[in-house]
Amino acid sequence: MQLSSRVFEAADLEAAVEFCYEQKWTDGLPVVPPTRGAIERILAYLKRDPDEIVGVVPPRNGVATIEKIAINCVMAGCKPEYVPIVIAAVEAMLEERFNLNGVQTTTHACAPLCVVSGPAVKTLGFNTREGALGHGCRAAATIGRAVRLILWNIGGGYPGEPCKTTLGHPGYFSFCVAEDQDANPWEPLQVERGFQSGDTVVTVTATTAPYSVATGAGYSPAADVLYLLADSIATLGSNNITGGDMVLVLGPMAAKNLADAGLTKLQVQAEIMRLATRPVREAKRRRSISATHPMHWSKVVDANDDEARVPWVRSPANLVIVVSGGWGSGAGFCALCSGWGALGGYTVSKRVEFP
Amino acid sequence: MSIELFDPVGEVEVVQRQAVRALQSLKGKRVGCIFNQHVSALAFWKALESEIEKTLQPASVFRIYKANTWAPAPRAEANRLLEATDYALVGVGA
Repeated sequence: MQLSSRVFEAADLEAAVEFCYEQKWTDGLPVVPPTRGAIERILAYLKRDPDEIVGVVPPRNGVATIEKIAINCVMAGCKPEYVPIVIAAVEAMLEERFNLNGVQTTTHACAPLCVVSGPAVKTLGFNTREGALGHGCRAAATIGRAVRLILWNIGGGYPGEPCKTTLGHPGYFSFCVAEDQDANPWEPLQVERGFQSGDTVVTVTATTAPYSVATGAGYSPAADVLYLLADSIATLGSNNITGGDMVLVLGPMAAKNLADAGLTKLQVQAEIMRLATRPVREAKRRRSISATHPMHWSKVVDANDDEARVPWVRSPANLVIVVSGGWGSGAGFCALCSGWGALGGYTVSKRVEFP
Repeated sequence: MSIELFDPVGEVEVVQRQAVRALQSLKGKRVGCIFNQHVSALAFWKALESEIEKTLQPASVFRIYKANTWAPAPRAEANRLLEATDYALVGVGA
């Protein structure tokens, strides 16, 4: 198989790993050396032209060909069958509404969170139980890792220059979670996003690190669960004061609590939207966007009424709800991943095309 | 036995641009102002525009004040600015 990428040589495995560091091909974690055999296994699985261009990745504007994506997937440790999900995630991030150039370079701490939903969650062995957002699953860990390496090696997303994220967060290394349809009392995420239930879909949103929310779903009424979730959203330091998307990963206990109370997912979103507000007198203390700016909250609320409520969720669709995780204790843990606000990183979903 | 490694770095897309037209003077020319409306640069930008108008007396001023500070200006607006101006000030406050 003809590969067009430059070839280097290393004396042995240890030297190869060190060479990857020396070449700045990795962001700190060791990588699997991208050898011909491993790359060709992915390309043989994909049955696509290695030179096919998937897109141009900012801010460096590197061209993401199938071959370059395959190389980065090898380095991340992906199995060949994971790679179509990575390709779909790249396509999603390159949609204009995602504003990847901004996501990669902002001083904020938002990284693309990939949510996988659909049949491949089971067939590829994603962990949707204990630790679903964390460690312990090759599929989620390496798909998230491949996305990061693509943003690094093709997009040139190096901290300092040109990426200005003040702190970043651990999800910059790998950030992927799968939906547990067995525990989801509502329609699958991919259906909510306009696809078929039999489709595997990757949904990408730029978010901050997950914030753990103890909802008390095991011993609290749904009204309190909703109140606690909303309270975690409407924090003055969150960029969602400008609007924009966010991802709420509901643990199965919290999801069951809400569904057992007769709430549809849309009703949950609408109720959280109603509750996730702060009074104008408090919102005024957040000064990072001027009152004259088109995104300022005063465009939707009377700034002269100190008791008027400023919404953090501007529409139900801004709140992307995913069900995943272990049953846990009565605390009913959930995870909120706040967004970049109306600045970008908006949720984009793409169907995964398996060969 | 050595190990072959393949370069994961994407080739950079080369964008062909026309040569920039050099202006002998900015005085009396048509100016474009692209401002991202960042809160930290509001006062500076206002003062800069004022100074440009006072000292260079532009024939016209074409403004794009971006509704989204963090996203590129809409392509259509940027193209209109290119047609309507001789030079542009680009303000990226952050």
